Amino acid sequence: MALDFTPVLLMAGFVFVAVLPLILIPAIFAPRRPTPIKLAPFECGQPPSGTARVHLLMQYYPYLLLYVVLDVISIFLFAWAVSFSLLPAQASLPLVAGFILVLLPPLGYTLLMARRRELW
Amino acid sequence: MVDPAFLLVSGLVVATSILAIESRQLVYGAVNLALMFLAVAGMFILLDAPFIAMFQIFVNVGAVAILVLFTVMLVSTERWARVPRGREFWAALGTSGLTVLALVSIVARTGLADVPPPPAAPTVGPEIGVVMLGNYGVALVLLGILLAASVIGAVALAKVEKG
Amino acid sequence: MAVTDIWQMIKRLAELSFWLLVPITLFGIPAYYALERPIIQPYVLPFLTRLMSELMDPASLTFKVILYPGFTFVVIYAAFLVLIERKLAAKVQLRVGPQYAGRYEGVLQSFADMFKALSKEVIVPAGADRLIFLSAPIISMVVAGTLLAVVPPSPQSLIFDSPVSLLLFFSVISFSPLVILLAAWSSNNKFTLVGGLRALHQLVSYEIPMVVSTLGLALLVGSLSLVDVVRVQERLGLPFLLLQPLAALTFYITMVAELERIPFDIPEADSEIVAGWVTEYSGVNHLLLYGGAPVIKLYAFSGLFTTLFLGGWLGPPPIPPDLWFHLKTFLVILSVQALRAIYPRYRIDQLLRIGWGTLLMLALINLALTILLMGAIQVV
Repeated sequence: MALDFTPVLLMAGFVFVAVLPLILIPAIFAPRRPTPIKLAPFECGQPPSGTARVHLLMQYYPYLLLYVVLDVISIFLFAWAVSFSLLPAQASLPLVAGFILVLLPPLGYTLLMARRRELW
Repeated sequence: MVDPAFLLVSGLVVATSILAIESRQLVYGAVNLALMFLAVAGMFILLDAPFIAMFQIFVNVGAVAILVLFTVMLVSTERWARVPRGREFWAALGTSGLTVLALVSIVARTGLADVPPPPAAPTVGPEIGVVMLGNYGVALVLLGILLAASVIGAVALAKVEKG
Repeated sequence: MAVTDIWQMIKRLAELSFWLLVPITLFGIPAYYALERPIIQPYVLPFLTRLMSELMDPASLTFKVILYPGFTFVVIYAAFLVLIERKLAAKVQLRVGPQYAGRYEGVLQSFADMFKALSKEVIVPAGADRLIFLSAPIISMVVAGTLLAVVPPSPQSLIFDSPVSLLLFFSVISFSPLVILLAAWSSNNKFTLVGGLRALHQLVSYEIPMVVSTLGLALLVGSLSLVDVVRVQERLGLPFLLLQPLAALTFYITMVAELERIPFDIPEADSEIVAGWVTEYSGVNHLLLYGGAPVIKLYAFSGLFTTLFLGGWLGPPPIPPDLWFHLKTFLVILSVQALRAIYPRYRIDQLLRIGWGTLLMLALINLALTILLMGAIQVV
């Protein structure tokens, strides 16, 4: 068949099975005494209030968009890198150089946009 | 008759995709989306394409599913989306059932299931790279330009205009 | 412990044993006689004997997955690594560290911690999504454990190798932001959500430099299999640390960032938002998320660093290859743990600027230099 990935699946399955007793033992033996204070979200002692201020982190949203694209790019670069020795260098280098150079303007634009906090 | 691994993986793909669409809690839908991508990667492994499977996990689960989850978490103000199930549901079910029936009968009638798959070595990096840069080099650079344009466009659209 | 506690435990044990034993005897005894012992003889006994014989055989997959270099070995190793980290940080800060558990210098501290965690109450916050909240530690451990399958201590004792092993490692790593985001959101606490988002941005920003820095390595080796990487180092006679210093530096820094370690522990930031995205977890879940999975990931990442840049299991004969691998990995782990005691913490904007700016630039420069290097020495 194809590449046999069963050792990896076996490892994942075994770790899952091995962690289950660690979860089951407290489920059986640990005390369960819920009080309203224990169940409330923890805010270093003061009563919880307000909504999450995640707006501050929105200025880094361009980074996430850039990440998705660079993720794809890096896999293509891996495909190129392992086949580099099989190809004539004069052919592949200009293409890959072009590929990477085309991606530098978005990188610069994203870094610039993320730096300017007033836009978000 | 059929490879049990194939049945298992395709069952997972179908199950997780149905759960992803039909979950009433949006975050569960996003998580099921990630699981569906994982199952599709398993499908790629069964098809002798481990490199593409890794590509799938790395890009789709590692980036796209995370972005979807991030968006769902921040945007959904109420956690339970209740979509009324109208008559369209039964129409859709009927149509898809007929489609599946048609496909199965085509496969059975023309003997497509009996064609042995070509013996293939697992397709890994070097072969892919040679073909990609050899025959499709220009397409690669165009793809790079497309991705670059999409990033710039997305960032420009997402920022709040001043004034 | 109060008398009511013991009484509650006894009650719960009695309940559990009732619900387990009565149905089993009620349905099992008639089935045992009526169905001619269908399960025990043909299936269970041979399975058990095969399991025992496989566990004794060091070359079998069962041994490798369960005992060495798989889960049991790494868990015990991880327990001692936690202790070593605490002792190291203590000595640097002129303290003593854990000293009471165990006769000599607190060696049993990790095991004491584990037993303590098993007896703690598991508090699920009000309004939290129970399913995701309770399954996040398990998934985190499964992700960390899968990484172990990819790292090869030596050609005889590797669990898994394939022409895409390196990509498999990176793919499994890319699960971490997902798990952290789920754990943070399901706690129904706005500060954990902020911590989870910070973790998301950090992990995502440092993944690209990590992946791009290994591109130079892929160029030199021509394959993504980790065994091949070490074989090329064997043939060249040089560890890749010397041939690719920039890549090694970038990989090391991104490794520390991916592990959410100081100086990159802003998601955890225990002077700002308590414990970041792990805040609402208690008892076993806290142990697994905060101390179990990160230490196993530390071992896996250090093992990968050793394989890629330090020559894996290569070394002169009297010491076996496995031991060379573990010695080198231990040195890398010690250096990462020493960073904890020395450096202050980066702010989120500094962190992101380093990840996307400096490190990505270094990785690309390394790629360019490697291309020139390959042109110069014609490495095939």
